[in-house]
Amino acid sequence: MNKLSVSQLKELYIDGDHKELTIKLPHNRRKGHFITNLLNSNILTMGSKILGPPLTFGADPEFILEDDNGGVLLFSNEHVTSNFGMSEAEVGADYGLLEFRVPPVDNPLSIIKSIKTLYKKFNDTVKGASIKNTEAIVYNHRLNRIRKGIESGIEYDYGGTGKDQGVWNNINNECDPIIGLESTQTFSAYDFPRFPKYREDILTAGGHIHIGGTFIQLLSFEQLRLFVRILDEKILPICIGCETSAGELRREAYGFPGEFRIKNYGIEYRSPSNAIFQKHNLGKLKKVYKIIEKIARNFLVTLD
Amino acid sequence: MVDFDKSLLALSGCPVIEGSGGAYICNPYPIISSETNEILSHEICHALAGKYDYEIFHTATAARESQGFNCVLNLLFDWYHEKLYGDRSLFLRTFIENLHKTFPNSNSDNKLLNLYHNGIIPDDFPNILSTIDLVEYADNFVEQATEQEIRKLLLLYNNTGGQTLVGGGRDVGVSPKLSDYYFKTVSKYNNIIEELSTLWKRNKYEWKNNYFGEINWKNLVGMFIGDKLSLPVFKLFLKISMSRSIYLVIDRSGSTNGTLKTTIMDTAIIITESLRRCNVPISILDVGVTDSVVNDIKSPVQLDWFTPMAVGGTAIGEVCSQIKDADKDSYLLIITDGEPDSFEELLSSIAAFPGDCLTFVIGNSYFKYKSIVKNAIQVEPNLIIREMLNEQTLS
Repeated sequence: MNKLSVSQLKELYIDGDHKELTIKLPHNRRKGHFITNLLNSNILTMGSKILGPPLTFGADPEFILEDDNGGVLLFSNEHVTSNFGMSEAEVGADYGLLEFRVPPVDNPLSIIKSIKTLYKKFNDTVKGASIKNTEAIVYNHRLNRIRKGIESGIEYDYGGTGKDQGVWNNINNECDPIIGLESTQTFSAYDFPRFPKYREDILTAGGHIHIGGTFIQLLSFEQLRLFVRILDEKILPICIGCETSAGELRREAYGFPGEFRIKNYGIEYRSPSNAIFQKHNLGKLKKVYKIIEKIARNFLVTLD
Repeated sequence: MVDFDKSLLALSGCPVIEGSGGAYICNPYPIISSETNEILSHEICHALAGKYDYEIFHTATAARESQGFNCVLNLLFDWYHEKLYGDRSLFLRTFIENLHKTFPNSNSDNKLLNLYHNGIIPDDFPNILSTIDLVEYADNFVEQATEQEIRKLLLLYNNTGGQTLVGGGRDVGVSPKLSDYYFKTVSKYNNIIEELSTLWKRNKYEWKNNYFGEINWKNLVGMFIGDKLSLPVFKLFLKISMSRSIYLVIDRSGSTNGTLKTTIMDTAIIITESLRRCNVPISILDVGVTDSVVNDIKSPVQLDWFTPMAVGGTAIGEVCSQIKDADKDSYLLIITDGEPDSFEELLSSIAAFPGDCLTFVIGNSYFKYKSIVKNAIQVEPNLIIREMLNEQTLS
């Protein structure tokens, strides 16, 4: 009853029936790349996470705002009337940048729909500010945040550990803070990581892609690094292709290939800029998420 | 309050760092806690046998969602761990007592009952290489057993406290094999160890390319001046890459007799435990007492080995030459009094080591050692290390 062929096991894996795969695997420990890859993963040790959704997609793109005169506008709660904290709201602020906290969904089409909804919400609720279609700009953001803070008492250090876990971790916004830890460390998919230097004179906007679910959670750290290297190969060129020349400026401070963080839901891929999330690029973004889905579903099957 | 329960240490190799009301917080790292979930409280005894085994159990039971399977695997895990560690938990002992009371003349066809009741190992019992074998066996057992058999097991299991037993710890312990010095030292310096671990983890993001995995030698100057001698030591430690394998050579030779041997061992334990909590692979090499590799890089660190001793010669070079699996990303750390039997042999071993090397020299032979061996740092027992170990300095 528990004996299955390798192709049947692969089918369970690709279909995302990882709970069943966990049950069958102890009975089917034989030679071969796929089984070895599975046994090297965390699939037999991931606890009740195995009961979670197989694949989730999310994002937290940031945008630089400009005022009616074309100057940089540091976004804060003075620009909205919402009761939500700006560090938690779906259309929120992060160190003066506009940030969309796209709720996790289970398919690429839904995430595009969610982003469009957030654009609309921004346009409907925020007046006197518009999104600047750029990935970075020479602008001393630190100095201006401090100045603005002194002048009007606004605190811009939103984000970081202050973020509401429920926005990020679980599909349907169900918060379970007990499972695992949120990582604020950025890892590199390469042996010699290059994390660019913090630049207070360049205001940058990232387009972090969140990929979660058991497909990602079951991967070991080394497998995750390999997964991110594949994202670099297949996804990053599309993202960079959407950029303006300011994309290079952003990489003076952020967004080298292979940057990722481990999250409760899976990983946050941090290399792309916000360009792929700009309204006119959403068609390409849909393609990106579809490629990610394909890579995730086949990852351990195609891994040598 | 940081204290350890010796009876648990003997069985688990993992210190219990806190205990209250039958709920234990245990360390293998990261900490596993069980305070509100009764079943989980019992499973802590599995957790004590190792985080990996516990996770195998937890995943297997979560995926199957079957009370019968949970009970069978529970019993198998208990049996296996207690067989492995030569002792019985309160749970298993009570279970067997109940078994004898409930079925005084049991000659059951139920293989699991026979295993417990009469100590008869079933013919089809697997050669257990890992607890995954137990999961496989439990599946087969549940599939083949009748409903009545499973009910019988569940009845006993529940009556024994499988669902309600709080604590689940082992009350019968034996003395640790060699020493509980490691745990006492970790207990003593736990705050410092946590601080170091946090620094290492946090620092990962901040590493610049040119300093990645390297000692920042600019900090060395600061080591020998100023009041806060502890800070440069921290800075040096936190440059050790978490992605590297660490080969830690500990000098327990005769020349370290006196206070040196405890300072050397305390330093070694602080480094080892801080790295262990970051999941850095560490291989320990013993100089003096056995002149051998205590554990290779792929094996867990033998915590009960850490005992301050001062016996035999100082064949550091010979011991270092026993390292076989290092690569260019490996890091060789030596903690010594700086008096090797042969500098020539030591230099040749360091040259043969493919990665970087750093020596902590404790005692008066630092200057001689430094004049011959590169990358040596002086650790004065009553200054730097003591300063570093002084919690008041940190606060």
